[in-house]
Amino acid sequence: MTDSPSRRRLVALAATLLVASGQAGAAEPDPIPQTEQSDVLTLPPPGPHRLLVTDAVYNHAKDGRAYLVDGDSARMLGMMPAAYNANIVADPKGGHYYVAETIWTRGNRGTRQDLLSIYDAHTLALSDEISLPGRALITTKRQDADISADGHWVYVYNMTPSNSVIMVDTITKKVVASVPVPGCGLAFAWGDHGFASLCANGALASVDVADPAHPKLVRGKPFFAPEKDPVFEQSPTDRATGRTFFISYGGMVTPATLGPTPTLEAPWSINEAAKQARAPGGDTPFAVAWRPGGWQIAAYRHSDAHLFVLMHEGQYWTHKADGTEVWELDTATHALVRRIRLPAPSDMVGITQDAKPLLISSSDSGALFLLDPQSGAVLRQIRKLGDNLIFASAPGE
Amino acid sequence: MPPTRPLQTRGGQARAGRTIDRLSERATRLLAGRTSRRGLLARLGAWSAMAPVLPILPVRRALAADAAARPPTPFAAAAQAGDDTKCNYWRYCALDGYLCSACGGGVHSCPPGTEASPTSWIGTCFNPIDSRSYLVAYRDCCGQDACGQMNCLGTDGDTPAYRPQSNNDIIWCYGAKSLMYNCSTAAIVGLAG
Amino acid sequence: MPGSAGLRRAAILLAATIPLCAAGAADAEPQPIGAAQSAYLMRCGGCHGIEGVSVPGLIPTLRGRVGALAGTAKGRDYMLHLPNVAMSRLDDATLASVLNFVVFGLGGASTAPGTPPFTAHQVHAALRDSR
Repeated sequence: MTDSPSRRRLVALAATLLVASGQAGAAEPDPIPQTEQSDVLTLPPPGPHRLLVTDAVYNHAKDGRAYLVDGDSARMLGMMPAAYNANIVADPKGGHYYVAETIWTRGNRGTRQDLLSIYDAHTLALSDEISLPGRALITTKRQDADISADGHWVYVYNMTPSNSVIMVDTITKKVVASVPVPGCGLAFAWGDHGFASLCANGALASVDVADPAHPKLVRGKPFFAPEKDPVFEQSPTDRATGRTFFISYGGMVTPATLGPTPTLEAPWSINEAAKQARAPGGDTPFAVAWRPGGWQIAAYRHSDAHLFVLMHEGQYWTHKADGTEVWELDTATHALVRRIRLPAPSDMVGITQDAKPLLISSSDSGALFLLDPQSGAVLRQIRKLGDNLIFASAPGE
Repeated sequence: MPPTRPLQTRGGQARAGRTIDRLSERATRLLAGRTSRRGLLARLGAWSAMAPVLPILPVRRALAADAAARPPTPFAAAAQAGDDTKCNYWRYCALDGYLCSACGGGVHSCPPGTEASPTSWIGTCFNPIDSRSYLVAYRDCCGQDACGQMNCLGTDGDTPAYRPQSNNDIIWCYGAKSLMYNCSTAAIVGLAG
Repeated sequence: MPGSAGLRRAAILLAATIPLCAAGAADAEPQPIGAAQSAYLMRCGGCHGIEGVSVPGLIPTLRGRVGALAGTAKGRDYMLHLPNVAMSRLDDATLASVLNFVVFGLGGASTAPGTPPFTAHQVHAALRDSR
């Protein structure tokens, strides 16, 4: 090979780069290192837009997972396996994620194992696995698992089909109790030592587990008609205060404060808040109205006590239809603040808790949208984060 | 069981002979199949032989009696009785999940390699042929992960999971060897009163 | 697992006496299921079984067994306070009829002669405070 002009130029360029690599010129491009070491990143310190998104992966649910997403850059930060209709609960103190999941020893067969898998929230490394005596196997509802406000107790709903709530001590890493909740389901954590379940007769059962060996169950009177206008399992709740808004198929909101003896307030209508007639019930199933629906049907912002509810226009029995709009409602005045048109029908809505909030929605093709809750503008999106994005939550929720 | 998307994504072909008349034959096979599956009953020969028989023909062209009966729900108003591999087949009015009939099974049959659940929830659907409502048992097929074909979202009468007797999100595989959900069937129990 | 001799006896008796779904000849018009049985099927039968027999060891068998409960005051009170019964939201008379279908329709030989039926009044009295 002759020493052609072009080859000479290359050699000169290489020499220049070699010299440059010995200098600290900030404007210079990074050198190409000779040998690159692999490492494992840890998560940056969490901010208010650190989103936890659950992907149910319905087509192969044993491969469920949860993603951590930075809402400011619309980038995935990491993920956790969450097998088979799993629930992912974030430690309120931020130290861990708890994944209530079910696996079989040989993939789709073998011995069933129900686990509370614990991940370090900084490294996403698996730090512990606690064997559970069971779990309710059901297309995941948010309140199939919850955590006490102080992070001490994780509650996991179980159904065999008898109903109970399994209590896990996150400090000793032990199951401490299986609390029977006959005729009731789900666990809405309140305070540091209690949870409430919704019952088949339209009442609440509230359980004080200050002494886990002697749980105190108090049954309330029915406050809704479960066969005519049931309340959604995914009604938004705040474990620290017990503040909960039970939202019905027909768009009635019953404010509640959960505790040893829950208090319930008079229901109000989302439609009436929007100056519409109340949505007709199951007696006239062909009537079209705006109705709540989807999967994670609502989110609650503590700072101003506003609710964000997924709404769609449809007939009765469309309680699982994706929302086309989010309605922001002031729970103090029962007034509609605004209607936000979604970029795509969504089965979930989320809201961050900070002063510059993001509204979160998804699409049936696995997109994640980050919206300006005031203008409804799409600020950012991930075109395909996963398959079935059913839940999203943000710190401080 | 699960999920969310109501749209039919794949058109199964309407099989020849899939008429309501054939349903009677299947209803009979249903009872036979269920009885033989159940170990307890299988061992009770006398019982099997003498078992009270469900109405042999739950679905027929009995238009005379209730000709005026109207479809009670929007699903019923749009339902068809010819193709049980489609989401709008009348019995699927409350079926939320994948159709066994599109996954190698049938309207009351599990695909090969799966296991039929001995438990279910029971709802009511309106048959457009005879304009009458039938009790339908939504039994899941179990033991393999989701079959993935024809994801349907029938929600007539579906109430939340704290009312399990009318909830279609629960994996109805209680009593099966594995509680892994594969697909859903819709077996006729009888004519609603 | 139930002892098969007792169950067989009960089953034969039942099969001979109680057509569960008003079955007729094979070519007869299908008869609608009665209200009480429909309520049983839609509220209990998915787990407990269309004919009152389901998964041994997981779900209590009603057929040929449940009558024993209905023979004692304690057992009757237990039945009335089972979650699906106490929380059914059925009116008193309908709930009583469903319980009676279970006791007399499924209970078979386990229901002793002279066992009194549940009445709306009894249902009301037992569940007054919980609904």
